[in-house]
Amino acid sequence: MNEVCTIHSVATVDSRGMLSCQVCGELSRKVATHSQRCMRCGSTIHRRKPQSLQRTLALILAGAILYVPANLLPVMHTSAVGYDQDDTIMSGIVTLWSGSSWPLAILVFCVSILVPSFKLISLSILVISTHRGWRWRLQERAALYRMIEFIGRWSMLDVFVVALLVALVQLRGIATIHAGLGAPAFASVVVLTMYAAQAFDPRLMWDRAIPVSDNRQ
Amino acid sequence: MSENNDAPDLTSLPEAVTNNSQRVRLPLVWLVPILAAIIGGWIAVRAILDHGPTIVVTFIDAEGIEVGKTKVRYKSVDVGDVKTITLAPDHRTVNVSIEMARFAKPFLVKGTRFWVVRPRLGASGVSGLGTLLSGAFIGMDVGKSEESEREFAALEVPPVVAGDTAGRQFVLEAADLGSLGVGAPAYFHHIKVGQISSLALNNDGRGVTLKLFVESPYDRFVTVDTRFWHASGVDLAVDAGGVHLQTESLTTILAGGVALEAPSGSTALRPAPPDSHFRLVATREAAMKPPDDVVERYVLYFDESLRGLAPGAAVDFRGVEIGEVTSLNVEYDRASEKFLFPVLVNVYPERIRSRYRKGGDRPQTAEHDLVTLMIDHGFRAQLRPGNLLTGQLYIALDFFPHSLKVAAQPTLTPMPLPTIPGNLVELQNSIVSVAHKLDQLPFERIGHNLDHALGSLTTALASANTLIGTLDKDVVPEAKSTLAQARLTLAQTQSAIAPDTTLQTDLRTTLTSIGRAADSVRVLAEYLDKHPEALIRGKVEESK
Repeated sequence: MNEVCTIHSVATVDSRGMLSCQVCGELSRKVATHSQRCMRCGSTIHRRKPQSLQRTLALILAGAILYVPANLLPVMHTSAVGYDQDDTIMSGIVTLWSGSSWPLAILVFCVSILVPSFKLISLSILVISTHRGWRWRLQERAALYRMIEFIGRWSMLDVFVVALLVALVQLRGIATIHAGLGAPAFASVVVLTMYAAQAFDPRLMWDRAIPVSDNRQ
Repeated sequence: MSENNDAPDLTSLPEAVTNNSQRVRLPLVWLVPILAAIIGGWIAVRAILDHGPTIVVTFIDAEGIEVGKTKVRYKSVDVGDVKTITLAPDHRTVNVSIEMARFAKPFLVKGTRFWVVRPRLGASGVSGLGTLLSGAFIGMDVGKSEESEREFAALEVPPVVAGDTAGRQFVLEAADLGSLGVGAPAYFHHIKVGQISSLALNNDGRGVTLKLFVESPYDRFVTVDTRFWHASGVDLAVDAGGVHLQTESLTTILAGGVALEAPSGSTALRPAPPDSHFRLVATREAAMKPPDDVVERYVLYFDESLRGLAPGAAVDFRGVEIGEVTSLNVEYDRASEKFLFPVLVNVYPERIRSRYRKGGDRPQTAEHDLVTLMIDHGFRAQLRPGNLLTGQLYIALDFFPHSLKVAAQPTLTPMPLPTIPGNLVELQNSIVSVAHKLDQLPFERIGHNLDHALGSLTTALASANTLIGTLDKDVVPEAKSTLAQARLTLAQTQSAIAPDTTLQTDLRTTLTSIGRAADSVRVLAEYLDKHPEALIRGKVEESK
């Protein structure tokens, strides 16, 4: 039980009845109202990100819903002379793989299939574990969160490729490429998961785990 | 928890400004998943709604059909995708299941046809070239029925006529297909007006039924009495009328075809209703014959050989064909113990009567009375050679007033028509009589005399031979020496008159002297003319 004492010995802004501005770092005294604004930069300050878990969950849910059409609908419609083809993300990977450009296939698979699903699953785990106040591997969970924030933008690779191809391959009558409905869906998934990651407040992990937390340093 | 003991100067920190606007903390963020759900739901609903019916088309062979790639196209619009290809349980056919677009649902009715479009090269043209690059697709033609259908059997070849082509279809009945095929063109005044859309053998195996589709606007030219005939390939016919060669166009030579035309003088302007039945005959001539609805059958007994007469040979009335031979038979008549050769003929009396039919209503029953009357007036049948080259015969009907009277037998069926021997038989008879006369000539005596004359001739020739021998022996050497001498003389003469010989030179000198002498004489003569006295006095010198 000496860990509890250790926690108490650590000075957090919160434990001193203070609020720290998330933009400029200005400390303010907490008042009993719902909303406060920073004296220095004017941005709204909160003790923690408001409704962090709920927001994250909502955005994850939205991303998960759109993840289905993003993978099922074609992202790209290619029409060459007498040749029409709709490509979903997965069929594109299969094409790349069977065309023996497998490094590219692996790359696309990682950023387009693995990363979004990884983000969705990891964020869900973070939200659930935080909500339940689990004390399990807090540090690793924090590392996971940092990783999610970092890799999030890479998923846009696919969208960029489609956008480029659509703009470049417009040889009227010979070959044209159109973006399919899957492309905006996929882009939405990426954006939504990025917002979800942003909405999540990792400090909550410790807040919720405080009474029994053994984690400090 | 709110009290802090460790931070003495914290009290100097300013208090945060109170935000008085009490916003309702509704979790607005939940709008995002709701929106996503709405979008996703809308996409899903649309996918389900777009998800048209799945049909199964049975193909004999799935060549060129690929799952996910092969499309179904109707008027070049994609209306479906191939989802699966499976073998039928009996392994005879291939079942291709196709997911059709939702809007194509009304097309899936009984009579809708499917076929694989591949590049095709035929006598009548090239089709489906576009599929060389894009791969095969499944063509579709919508049926006219209202009855919905989900299972279809694919056609082996593309249909010739699209279901919505304006025009009319007619049924042609032919005895023989000739070189016609599905897609064979139909020509009206050598303009292509339609195509054979299907053909089938009749159920009884006799004849062929063809369906001819005539496109609009040409279909209105097909009237109730339009005639159809084979324009298939080259039509070479040898008959009693000679050799006929007829073709319609180069395509028909290769691929066959049908020609149609109304007979000249046709007054029927009423277009034929769809699916009218017509007869398809072999030649234009046959097609243009008046319809032979009324047929009268007669039997003819000829005494001469029937070689050269065949079923189909013309029965001709003073050059107009009014019927044809239908069969030749052999009969044995027990009563007379003779072989008879009945020739059955069909006569089409409408061909005779069409002119005065307008006038009134002759009783049809008077048929045999009329023939009886005609027979009394010498109406007879005769075999005549139609073509000396081919030895074909035809039957000529005509009046022979001087022929033997024969009683008509109108009660018999078929009624016999009396015959008289043909021209050929008469010709044969003449030849026989000539031969007979020749036979009676005294060839033996003539030969004997000839032999005798030849003997005398031989003697005369021998004498002539001797005479020639004498000539050869005596006269020829004499003549030879004479000729030699003559040649010698000629040579001498030649040398005498040669340019450089003495004779020649002398002759020239002499001639010059004579010339000069002549000049002197002329001078003397002139002088004497002026001075005649000189003859007496001598020449006097003239002074000036």
